[in-house]
Amino acid sequence: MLDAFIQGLLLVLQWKAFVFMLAGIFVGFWVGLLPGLGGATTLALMLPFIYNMQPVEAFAFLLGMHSVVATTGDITSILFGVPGEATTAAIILDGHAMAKRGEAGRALGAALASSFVGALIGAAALALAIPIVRPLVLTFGSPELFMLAIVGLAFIASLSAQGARGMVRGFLAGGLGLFLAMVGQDPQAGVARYTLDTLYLWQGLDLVPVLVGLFAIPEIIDLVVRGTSIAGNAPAGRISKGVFEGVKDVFRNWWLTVRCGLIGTFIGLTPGLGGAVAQWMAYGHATQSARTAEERKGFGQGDVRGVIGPGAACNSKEGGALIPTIAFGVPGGASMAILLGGFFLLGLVPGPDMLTKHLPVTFSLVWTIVIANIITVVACFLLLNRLTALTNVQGHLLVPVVLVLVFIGSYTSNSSYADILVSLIFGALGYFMVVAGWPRAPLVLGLVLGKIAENYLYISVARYDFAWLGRPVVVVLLIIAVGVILFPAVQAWRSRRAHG
Amino acid sequence: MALRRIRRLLAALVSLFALASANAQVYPSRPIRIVIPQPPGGANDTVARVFAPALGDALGQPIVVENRPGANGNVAMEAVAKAAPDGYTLLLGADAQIVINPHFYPNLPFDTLKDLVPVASLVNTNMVLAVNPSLPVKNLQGFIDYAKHANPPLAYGSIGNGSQHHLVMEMLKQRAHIDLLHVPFKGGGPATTALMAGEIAVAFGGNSITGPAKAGKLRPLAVAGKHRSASFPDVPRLAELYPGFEVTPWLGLFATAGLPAPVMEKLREATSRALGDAQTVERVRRVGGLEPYSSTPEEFAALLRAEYAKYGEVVKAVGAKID
Amino acid sequence: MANRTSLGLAIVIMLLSAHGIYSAHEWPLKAKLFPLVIAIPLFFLAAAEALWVIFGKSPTASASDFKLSEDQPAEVARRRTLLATGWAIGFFVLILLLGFPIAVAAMVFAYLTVQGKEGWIFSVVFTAAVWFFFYGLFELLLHMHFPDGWLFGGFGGF
Repeated sequence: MLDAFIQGLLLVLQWKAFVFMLAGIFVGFWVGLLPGLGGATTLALMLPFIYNMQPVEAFAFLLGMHSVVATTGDITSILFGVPGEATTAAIILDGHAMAKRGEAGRALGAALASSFVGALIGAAALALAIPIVRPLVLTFGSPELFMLAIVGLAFIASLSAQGARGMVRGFLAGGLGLFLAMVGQDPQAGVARYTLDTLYLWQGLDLVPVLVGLFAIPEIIDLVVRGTSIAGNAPAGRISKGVFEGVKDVFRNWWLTVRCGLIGTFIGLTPGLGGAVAQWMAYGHATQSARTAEERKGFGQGDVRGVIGPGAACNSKEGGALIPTIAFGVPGGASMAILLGGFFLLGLVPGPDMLTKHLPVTFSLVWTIVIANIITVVACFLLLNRLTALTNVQGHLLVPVVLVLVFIGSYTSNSSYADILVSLIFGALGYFMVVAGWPRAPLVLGLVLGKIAENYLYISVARYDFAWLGRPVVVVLLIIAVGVILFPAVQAWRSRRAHG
Repeated sequence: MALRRIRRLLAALVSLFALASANAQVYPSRPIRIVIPQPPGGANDTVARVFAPALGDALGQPIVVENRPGANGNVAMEAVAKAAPDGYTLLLGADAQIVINPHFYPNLPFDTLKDLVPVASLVNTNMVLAVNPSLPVKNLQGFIDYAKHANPPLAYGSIGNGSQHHLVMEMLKQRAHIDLLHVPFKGGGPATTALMAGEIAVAFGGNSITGPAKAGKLRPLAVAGKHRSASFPDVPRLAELYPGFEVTPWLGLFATAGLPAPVMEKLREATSRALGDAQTVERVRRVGGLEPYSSTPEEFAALLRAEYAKYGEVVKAVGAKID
Repeated sequence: MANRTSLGLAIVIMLLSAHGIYSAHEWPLKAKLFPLVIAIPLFFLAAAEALWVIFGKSPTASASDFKLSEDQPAEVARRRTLLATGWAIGFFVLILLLGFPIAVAAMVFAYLTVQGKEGWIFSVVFTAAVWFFFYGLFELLLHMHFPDGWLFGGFGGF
């Protein structure tokens, strides 16, 4: 075992594999920065390049690229309020708020450090889970996946403002998200629901144009209204400072970072849940760490914990997602399906062989994640001053460029003008929600989890009638869901008592 | 028409940078687009990306793979059906889109057999019927007997309502006179996991079955194709028990109807060159256990018509309809 | 303002969910169960919010989400919001009519000169830089396909 562990490291450090990894990191860096252009598309584009590579080189290349995308996606989200990837939207709420306060440096420092820690957690999980992965994944049948979606939805309570009024608005937004998730052909009877007689809506609303519109457009409008740069009137010189403050923040909130990293790993590990949920659940968990009502109100206004949580989850989920891919050949998502294609192309069959005969290759994957993240974080720290300087660029120079990126970013998801239309509509919705003081996060949770919940509920009922309600993991998850829903009330009570 | 002038100016600029200044009379004089009805990661996508370099070499122009997922492939088919018939926009489609979709969507704004013309078949694959190893059956006959007496009926998984995996199992149900409960999953990954976990007892699968089956986590009982599978030489064909029961999912290249004959000829020639390239064939074999599938245009056209009719009957019998 | 917007949103959601409930009634049970389970409570939640706005006192709820900046006078903010909306919609219309490549150049240039009041030379250089970045990356490198504008034939792109 230890032998293979070290062998794996040596494999990655061979000069050819290392050079390919650097190439992958370079590509992934830019893909992550550009909104809309996703990791899966790029992986598919790069597939033909691996034909003549050795397996280790190819995975250093592909996985190197893949590991970076989430990290640099966070950068776009923080600096411009435009989700760099569909999976990095949650970090906007507090990260971009910090950038507007002139604390882009601190936010980026915290995001980079926490995503690095997250990546390590994901890689460690990959290395450790290998022997126990089979029972772990297989205990998660459809009923458990349904309950997991419910736990995710329960975080709506944490993402809403406290008090009855806040809850009503939070659940309204969440319900709207669930309702919008029903758009498209239903998985059971095949009825086209709310498709407005268009082919475009057959497969439901695409997440990328929705997220880009919902988050980027209100920020663009606000930037025009303020008529300044993103960092506004924050004193110059303060902006690029605080990077190490951000890194220290991660260590100050060490256990939060670890917990959110574990949340990400777990979501990644479960095939069929999708990576977009991970950051939101981590964000919801981060808001639970607020001890007083004042602290609670700081979330969304630039609390660094709202950056650390999503940052850690986003990268750790990738290590988690590799586990079922390697161990069974069951991909957790599009990116993993393409990586799996890469495995087959190079003549490796994922499955138990990867844990015995090809164990060094498997460990080389772990090392690739670790080393690629180290290199990315170092590169980002070197570039941080340049990047944060962007928040000082005058708004009227930034707005047209961001608009172009937003429009192309949403257009690339289906190559359809309807994508842009969806972005504009959700942009308007996002703007009005912000004006009215409704939270946008629950809407995203509902939209992401609605179809999953419906599909797995039907399968559960079809397979087990209602006996599934008694399954032990289901019961545990139900208790967790109830706990998550009640947590804000506990929080409010605790802060009242502390004051009272 | 000032706009036209601006556009012409820009077009000139564009062509300068695109280096697409070759004589427009000779096909192909610019990159060719292959539209894929799936997002990256699907079978069509992988095959397109494996074939693109070889096809590009044969045609002397780069091939651009463009994903147009949406509406179960109908968006991509519409894009190609309504494109200019000049051979610069092609579709890499599967039977699931070309001969199955029309039966589910009677109101499609195009006809897959009339508005699209087959260029060539590319690959096909062998579907594997696999069961969870905890099921006390060792072979196909054993499974059929067991399924006949199972109460409640055994559950089978598919990758979605109206998917090929769904329809083929319905065909087997009719043929073998068994009753099974359909459980549609969202995609092959979740379905395979559910089969391994025993949440469903049986399913048809493609390549996703191979790894787990070799590792003994799933038990392959039969293959649906014309030949036994190279990956499972000991596993019999369904037709050995039910003569004539053959389903072979395929992928092929399609163009817009009205394609000029010389262009079609060039495309067919290039495709057969690509299919004859040993390296490409080897890659295709590895990726998802696909087999290169060459046929004459007549054979392929006949297959399309036959399968169109066959799936039409199954869909009618199942009563599945998506309006 | 916040209250009126909230009322508007609530009414829109009431209409949407009512439509959702109405159009679900003819679907098979499997297809309509989930939409109904969601749309019916959604309708009542929206109704509760609407009543709250009409009869309730001022809201104390603040979501953990960003707030629009308030350092500009209301009149200026309103004008600039409409302006930003106009630019976004205008850009979309330009893309429809002229196609992406031309629309990108036209929009960036127009924004710089009209909204940013930048000089011609700077605007031309900046536009060219953005355009070449766009063109080099999406057309040359990624081979994205951008349909022609509607003015130049066809109504492609949807």
